[in-house]
Amino acid sequence: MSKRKGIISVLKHSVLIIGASFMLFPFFWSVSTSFKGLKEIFRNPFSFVPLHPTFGNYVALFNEIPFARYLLNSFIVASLTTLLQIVTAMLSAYAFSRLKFKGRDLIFYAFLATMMIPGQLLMIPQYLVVARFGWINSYQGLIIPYAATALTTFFLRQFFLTIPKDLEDVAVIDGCNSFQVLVKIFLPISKPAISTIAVFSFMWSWNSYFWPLLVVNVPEMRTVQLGLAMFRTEGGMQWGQFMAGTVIATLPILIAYFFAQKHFIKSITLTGLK
Amino acid sequence: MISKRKKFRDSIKGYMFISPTALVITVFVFFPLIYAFIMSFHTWNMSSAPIYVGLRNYTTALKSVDFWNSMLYTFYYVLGVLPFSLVFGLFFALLLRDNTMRGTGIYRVIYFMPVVTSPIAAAMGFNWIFENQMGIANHLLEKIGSQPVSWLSTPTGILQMFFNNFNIALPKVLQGPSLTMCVIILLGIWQNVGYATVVYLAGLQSISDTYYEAASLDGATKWKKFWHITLPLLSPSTFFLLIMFIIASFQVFGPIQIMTPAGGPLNTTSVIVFYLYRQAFSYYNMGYAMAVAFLLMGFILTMTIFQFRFLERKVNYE
Amino acid sequence: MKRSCFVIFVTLLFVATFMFANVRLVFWHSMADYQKPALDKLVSEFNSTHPDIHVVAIYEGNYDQTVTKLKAAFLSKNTPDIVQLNIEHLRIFTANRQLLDLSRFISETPSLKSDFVDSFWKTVVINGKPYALPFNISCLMLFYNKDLFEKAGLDPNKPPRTWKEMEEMAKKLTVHAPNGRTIQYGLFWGVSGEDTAFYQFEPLIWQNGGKIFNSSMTKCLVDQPQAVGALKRWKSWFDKGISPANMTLQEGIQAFMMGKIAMGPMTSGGIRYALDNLPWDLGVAMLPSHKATVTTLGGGSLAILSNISPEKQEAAWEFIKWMTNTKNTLYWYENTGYLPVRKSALNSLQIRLIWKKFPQLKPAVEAIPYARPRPVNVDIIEIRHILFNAIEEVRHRVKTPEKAFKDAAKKVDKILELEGSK
Repeated sequence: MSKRKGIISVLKHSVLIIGASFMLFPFFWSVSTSFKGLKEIFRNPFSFVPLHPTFGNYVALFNEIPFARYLLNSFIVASLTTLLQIVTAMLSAYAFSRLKFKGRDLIFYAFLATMMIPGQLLMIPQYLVVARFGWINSYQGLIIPYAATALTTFFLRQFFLTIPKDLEDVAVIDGCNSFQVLVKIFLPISKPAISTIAVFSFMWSWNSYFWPLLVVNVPEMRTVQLGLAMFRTEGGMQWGQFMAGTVIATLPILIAYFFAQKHFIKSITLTGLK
Repeated sequence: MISKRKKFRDSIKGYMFISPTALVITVFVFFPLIYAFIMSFHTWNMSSAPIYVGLRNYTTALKSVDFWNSMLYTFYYVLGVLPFSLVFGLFFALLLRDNTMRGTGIYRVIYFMPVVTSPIAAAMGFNWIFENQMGIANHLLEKIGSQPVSWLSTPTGILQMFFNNFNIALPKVLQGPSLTMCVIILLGIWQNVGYATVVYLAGLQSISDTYYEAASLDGATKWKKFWHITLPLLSPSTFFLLIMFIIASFQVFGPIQIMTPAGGPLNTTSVIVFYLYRQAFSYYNMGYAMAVAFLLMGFILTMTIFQFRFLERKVNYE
Repeated sequence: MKRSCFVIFVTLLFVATFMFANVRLVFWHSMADYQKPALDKLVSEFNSTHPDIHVVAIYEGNYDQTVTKLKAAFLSKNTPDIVQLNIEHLRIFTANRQLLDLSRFISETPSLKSDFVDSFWKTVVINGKPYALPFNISCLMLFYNKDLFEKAGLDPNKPPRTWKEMEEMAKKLTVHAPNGRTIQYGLFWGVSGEDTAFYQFEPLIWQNGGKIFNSSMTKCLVDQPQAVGALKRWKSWFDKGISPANMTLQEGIQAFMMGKIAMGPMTSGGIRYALDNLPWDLGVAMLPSHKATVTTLGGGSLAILSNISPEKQEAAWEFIKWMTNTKNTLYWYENTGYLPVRKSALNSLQIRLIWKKFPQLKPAVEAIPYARPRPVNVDIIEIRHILFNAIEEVRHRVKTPEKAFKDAAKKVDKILELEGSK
């Protein structure tokens, strides 16, 4: 019996390892290429590990393109967007799950419907609005249009619905108003859900491409994805540098994910996503 | 009287709480939506004044071969990404459900890595792997003695490729996605599997052991347990993933723009959003592009409503 | 936030600029990669020699992307002052009077106009008025690998002069492995499908005596026998196995760089980049001719926007005039391969010195008399995508050359008709 168990376990692991290598290979290959010089890529593109590892691609990347600045911009935009999304979602999710007001469900469904609109459809009118506000080439222009989304509201509302009412009843008896209930009761309980939103919002914002492409036309305001894509269209065959760029654009989000992953997986479990 | 007043106060409170979200969504979604809707009845090249043309943009789109081809390619993409992501996600989740097994945490972290990667970066990575001359995919093919493949410039549908062996020519709709589209589908699966795995894991953990114990008493086999307990009880997770993936897959764009900037061989990777983007930002047929976008939106909406009406009935909420 | 150093530096820079420069001009361009350093050098030299003007050069993506950005910028009134536009895109903006008519400035310096190469000058004149100065003009040249020529027993200094010669040479330059696989191709006549689509195919039609449009641009003529003939010939190169059938343009260029393809058409604007980066000996020649000797004229120009103040207009004019003067156009030529735009530069002594250093730059200048600008109109980008798709259908054997160009011409005619009705 135990022998059979052992075989099954080995089998399981081998399948999982095959899956994992499939997942990891593109990362590995990008990183490996990013440390290869142009000559090595041309002569022998297929050595798994760089034979003559070089930082040349990274040096060139940071010299030719203000990637440090792009990283900073992305960081500012992604963090502020995330923060604002959490605040707005907390407020509206609370209203939709706990408060009774006229037209509540109608408004909620109207918000939900916006999730199905292709983003490209709205870009030009959105751009006109932002231009009218004078927000072209500004952090506001990159952040405010995405300061609140239907998805985060929806997600948090579903979570709030699972919180037992008794908890807040006690608080209300203690004389707390709605806002205090939200901060003192809902906020601590919802930490896992909020961290999920945080990871997703940050990731989404960090990875967004089209909106920055439209709103930004000075180098000082470019984000990482924009820098990366522009680098790609500049042509040439600098695969080593391209890969260095993708590594740089991906690394921060991966680090963020590694730190938050426990929260993340736990919160999906908690919400059950029903 | 008092209750009415309280109702009024509650309403005010409710509105205040939703006001930040409502403001942003009104200004940056509802208003642009109305604007776009009006524009879809005009021709507008972004420079000259818009000209009202009535329903012409819509009728042109519905009559356009390119539009329908793009819809077909979008379907291929969705039908390629969706089932594989779900099946592999479930498969890995089942393997990982045993918490006592060593390394489950690491596997989960690894499987989710592609999900957080930016589509632009991921597409560049895949581009490099499948490049004709120096891509490692072709190199490995050569190593095992086969011909290198033009991954990014083969317009033939994969089903047709198979039937070529028997000299059978299929009608266009049945030819399947082009090889190039398959590479992009592979990228889509790569980015989605981890997400499905995590969602399914969550679903699996919420299934109470008592069901399995009861079934064991009845002498059910493992396969039967999977078929009659696990799968039905996972239906909420499946339903959720279905909705999320369909909405996202219908709007795929970034990877296509990076990997096949000209729309792929014979435009076979020109999915609907790519088509729309080209019409808007390469040809400046803004009104037409917006009409196409509304057709797409109507389509996604119908699909989603359909899912809620017909599929959700089959979903087993505990 | 710890970006203080950078911020202070940038602020100081801005303060300095505002204190010393009276006029600040924003200049959008599409020069990337190897061309960007040369452009930046010119701009910074202009700034240091013109203390009262400060030009800020910003890369905005390729030509097509710049059009999009500029269109959007007009909507938000966030336009730059000077813009580098592909000569084929000028009309998109002159149609709505968004570019400054340069007639006034031109008439102030009559010698200027006559010093620009005539065929280049024509590309910036629309309805009799000049809207830009030609800046980075290139023609399509045949690039070839001299090392591979030598290996195949061909004279590396005798590139093909006709289609027939090219086909014969390409056959000799195609190498098969013992197992029958082709490991080296003689020719790759790749055609771009994205930015400047259809660019490389146009000269084939012209060389075969054909035309793409009628002279009033109301009808597409690719369904005529000459154009179809060119397409058939192009297809035969794939059929004969001297050209790889399943490569994207980018993959083809890659293979050419790696020495796996011997010949192909490329823009002269890339000559210097190729010389600096290729590990083998590059040859550059005029495109092989057939019934006619002709090549494509392409590239960009510098335009001023019409919505800026008269003071800025003066400064901007100063800048674009300076960028295209004899000395700078030669510098630009030497460092990129884009053609000198001034007759005085072509006749100068310096150009001979440049040829001594980089003999490959010379054939492009010799090709100028044969270079023909591409036909343009407002919807040209969409039309070119249609034509590109047509030749792709032939390459992938979905349609015959006759059918492909017939269908494409029909589609294009429809667009032209709509355009006429506007």
